[in-house]
Amino acid sequence: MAIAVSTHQPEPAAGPPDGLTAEQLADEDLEPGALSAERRRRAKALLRGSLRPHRGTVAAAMAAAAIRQLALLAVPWCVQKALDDGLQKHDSGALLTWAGATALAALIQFAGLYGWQYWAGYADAKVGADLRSRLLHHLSGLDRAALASRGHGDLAMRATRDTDLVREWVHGLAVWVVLGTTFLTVLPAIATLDLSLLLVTLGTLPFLIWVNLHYPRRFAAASGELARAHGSRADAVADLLQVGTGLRGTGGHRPLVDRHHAASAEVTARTLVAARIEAGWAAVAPFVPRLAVAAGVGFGGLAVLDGHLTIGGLVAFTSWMAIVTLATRVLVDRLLERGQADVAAARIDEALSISPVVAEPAAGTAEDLPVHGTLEFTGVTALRDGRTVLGPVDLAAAGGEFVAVRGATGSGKSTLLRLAVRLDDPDTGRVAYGGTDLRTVPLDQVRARMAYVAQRPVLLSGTVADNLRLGRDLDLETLHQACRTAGIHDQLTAMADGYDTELGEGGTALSGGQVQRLAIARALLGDPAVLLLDDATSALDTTTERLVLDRLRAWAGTGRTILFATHRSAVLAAADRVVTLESAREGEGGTDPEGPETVTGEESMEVARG
Amino acid sequence: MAEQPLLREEADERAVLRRAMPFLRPHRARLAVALGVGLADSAALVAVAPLIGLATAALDDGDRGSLGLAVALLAALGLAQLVLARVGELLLIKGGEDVVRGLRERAVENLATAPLRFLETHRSGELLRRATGEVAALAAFVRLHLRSLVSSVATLAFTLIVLACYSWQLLLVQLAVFLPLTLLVTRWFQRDAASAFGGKASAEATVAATFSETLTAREALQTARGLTGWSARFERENRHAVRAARRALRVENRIDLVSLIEGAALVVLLLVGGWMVTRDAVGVETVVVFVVASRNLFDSFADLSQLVGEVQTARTGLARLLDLLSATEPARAARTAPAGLPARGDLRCTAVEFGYRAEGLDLHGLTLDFPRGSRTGVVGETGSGKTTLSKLLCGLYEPDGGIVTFAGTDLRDVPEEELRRRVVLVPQEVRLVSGTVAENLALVQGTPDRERIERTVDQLGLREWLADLPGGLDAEVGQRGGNLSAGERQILGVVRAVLADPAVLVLDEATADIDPVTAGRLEHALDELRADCTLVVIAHRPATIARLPRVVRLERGRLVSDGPAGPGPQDGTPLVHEPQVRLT
Repeated sequence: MAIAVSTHQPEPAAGPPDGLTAEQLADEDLEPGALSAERRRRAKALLRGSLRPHRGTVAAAMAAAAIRQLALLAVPWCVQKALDDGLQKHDSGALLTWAGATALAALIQFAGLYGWQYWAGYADAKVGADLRSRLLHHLSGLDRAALASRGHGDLAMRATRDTDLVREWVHGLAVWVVLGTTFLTVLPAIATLDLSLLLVTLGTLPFLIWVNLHYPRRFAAASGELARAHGSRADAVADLLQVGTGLRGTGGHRPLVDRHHAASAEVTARTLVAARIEAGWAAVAPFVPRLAVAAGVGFGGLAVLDGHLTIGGLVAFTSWMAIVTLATRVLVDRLLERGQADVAAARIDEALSISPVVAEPAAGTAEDLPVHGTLEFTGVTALRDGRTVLGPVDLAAAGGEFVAVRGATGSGKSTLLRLAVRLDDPDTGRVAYGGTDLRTVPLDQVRARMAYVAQRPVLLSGTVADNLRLGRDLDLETLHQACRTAGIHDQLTAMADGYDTELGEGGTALSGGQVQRLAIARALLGDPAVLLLDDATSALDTTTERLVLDRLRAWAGTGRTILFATHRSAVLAAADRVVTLESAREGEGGTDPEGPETVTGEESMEVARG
Repeated sequence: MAEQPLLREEADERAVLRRAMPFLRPHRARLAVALGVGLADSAALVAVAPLIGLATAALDDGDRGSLGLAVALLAALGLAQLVLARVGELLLIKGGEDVVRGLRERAVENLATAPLRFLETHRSGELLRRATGEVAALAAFVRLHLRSLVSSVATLAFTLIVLACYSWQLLLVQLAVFLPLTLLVTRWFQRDAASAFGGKASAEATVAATFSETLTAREALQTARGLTGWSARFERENRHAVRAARRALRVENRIDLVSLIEGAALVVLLLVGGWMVTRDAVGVETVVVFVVASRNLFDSFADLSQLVGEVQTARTGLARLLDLLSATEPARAARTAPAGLPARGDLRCTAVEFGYRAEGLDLHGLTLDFPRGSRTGVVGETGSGKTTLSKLLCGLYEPDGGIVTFAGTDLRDVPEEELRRRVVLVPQEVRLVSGTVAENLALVQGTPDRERIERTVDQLGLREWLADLPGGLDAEVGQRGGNLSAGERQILGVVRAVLADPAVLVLDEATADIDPVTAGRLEHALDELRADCTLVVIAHRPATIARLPRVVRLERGRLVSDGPAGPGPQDGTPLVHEPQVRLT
């Protein structure tokens, strides 16, 4: 059951374990250091947990990476042997052997590289898919109140940007193996060539680390400034294009052009600042490795002359030196980025620990909802942000009854309907069906019994039929039946693709009235006992509205209840009873122009039919 | 309508460098020096391999002196590169940035003075993108890739020359193994890259879209009990994304074959080199030089193949920018003010015709005279051509037929700067820029000082109104004037126009959003302000029209009446009912 997602969540979202609020975590550029130990522990647990199902793939990537790196490092050694034993000694047998060994090493290197890249990429794709899936399952089941303060953009970013950062982390795991293999192999190998060469190599390391720490930070800061300068120049151009045309008649665009040129000069100045850092970086970074090669050739050359070292060994040293330089750069990059995945994982973890406010009944205590009964609101009030938006209301609607609810904007009509399908829960009082409190029943049963049509129904991308089914397994005839009742079947079959017409972005646009009737049909498909309509005919012309109301009444018969929140006179006329809600806000009672008798609750019922 | 060059969707990329030459020329000295330094830097890089060869030869001969020389030269090269790399890159970026700056400022100058019709016929997003995003992309190319391009090409060329000097036979063998195979692999990669990476991106975009759609449609899915089925759809898309990622990986990994080819080239080098050494055709040091230098060779090939895309993007960007420049190049660059054009004079349009589209006219042969100091109202329904007329009267549009003159001179012959001293238009929608009220009022020709602004505000009877704004003249108007109401913005528009002190003031519904009392006061003050200022007032508000001695009525682009304000709307109802739709 998809809705019962969150019963196992141990911790409520309120009171995060480290005093870092959800709002602070919403800052996606949070510094890793800002995470508390508890958040970090949970983030690491999430990372480990997401890796577990794919540990085989990750291990394969790591193994391939290690093999690849060993083979890559072996190439200079094989070349060295070929130079020393083959070329120098004019030994064609040795040359063939070592050339063959070089070829083999190159082949293994390629195979390892392929496997490394493939498995690392595959693992990161799978981990990403898992995380997205977990986020979707969790968030889609949450209610309005639980997500009240969350922007959709921010939540969606946890499934895109943050998930991608975790994927990068997964992808980069094998790089650590590569780095380890490199340093553990190359340094001893250089040591076996000649101790002085090892000292030269070790001597460059502090410098390499400094370069890779110093420049990227300064460069990132300068790039940020440059991007801002480009941004304000773009603003100046936008002003000129959007505002300046309006100013043309006054001759006032000239100062705007001057503004642009000032911004343009700033771009140039910022470019030069960034360029200086960049040029310094590009010039300084290879400087010490080059000096090291010179020193290596000097010391190594002396060793060759003394007979400790071969010419091939010297050539191998220059190759290995290049690999160590590269590996150091990657190592520093990795170290600088290592906190990013923690922040991303903490943000994902936080989204996964939002608890529902509208919750399933505690396991084992759930009751069953009667198949028929009266929908009763007893002393119900609802609060939003501490303000009363509804009630207190007492209202009962029996099977076979069609009750219209009206009231001024802000009187809580929509909230009342939402309580009956448990999109929200009342803050005081209770909503019951057939005498059973809805909160004691599994959510799925509530929604099987109660169908709800929102004020502004949402269409999803997909066909008309997809939008009617919404993932439920229903045959086409059932769809047709519901659409006939909702008065839209004929219009749908008149479309070129009928029920297969694509809707949503890029698809056919339906009119507001068509969307409303489609949503009514969608609600009827669940064969509910209670139909809750929130101004669901507001976009219909009066003729169609009458037709839909007649059919709904026929559909409801004597067993089903209709609760309709509206101002429309046709609905008020069609209803068995009309209930007027008084505005819950103080001092605003009586703002309903249509309702001379603005009273609250059951005793105020005014019989409009009969 | 008059011939109006439009931007091309796909700008002509032929001879783009030659067309950019006028913008390069002022900076050619610096660019030439930058190029020279860049070449020296690459030469220093390439020289490392021969020096190692020299050292090898010295070792072979047991010559300590030569070894010392090689080591000293290697160290000196390192130092030289330290200086050359920094100076070269800096010079190149400076020169390139100057060129790009010239281009972007010219583009903005041109846009600022381009005919209004040009701006109106292009979506402002399109112009904005060309003048900002694409310019920034060009600047980024200059900053990040230009040097790599220079150094890769130079390194490749120098390496080829050096290796050819050592042994052209060995070089040929190397290239014969490396080049064709690498090209094949690259082609194989490129053949499927677009579809594989595009497929991966679109699969992930679909997943992201469904995710975000789920958040939006959450309640509908919950109440319809559709979450299970919907999740199944999401899972399908998610699995598809993983499959697409695997396909992209397989295509991406094809490029790794290049590392295998490099290995093969190395093996061939050892075998052929060894064979040549045994025959004493070359020395061991030649093979060593090849082993060391082939790294440069492979790397510059790899760099160049990556740069191909960047170069293409930059080329397209440059072509589109040049297209913008040529389309907005002032057609009448040599407009000079006719000597002695008086500051005040009569405005007259004679048989003026204008059409927005190629066929059909929106104004038909209008002839109207606005003598110096006259006050005229223009009325008519939506689409009657009032706003078009106002733009023609100000010289913002050029008529397709007929002529608009000020003091007898064709407006087309008056440079915009001179024209704005004489004819000023206040449109209904007054545009403001973020900043203070005073800064916005100063956005007129001549940039008035604070004292003049204050005096003008007093003359228009707006001192109290201004005092009510928080901060008065220093009140922040917000992003595009968002802190002010439409009426307040219009008041600023009128003040701005008065500050421009023109001979003719054309008000196009310029007081429509101001409350009637303030509007009345403002119109009265305008009328009183200067007797010799010609006023042309387009308005619907009866009170505004009633104030004017002469009313011109347009219908469907034709003049239907011109004379003293007639019986007018006695009952106080609006003269005509029309929704506030702008004509353009």
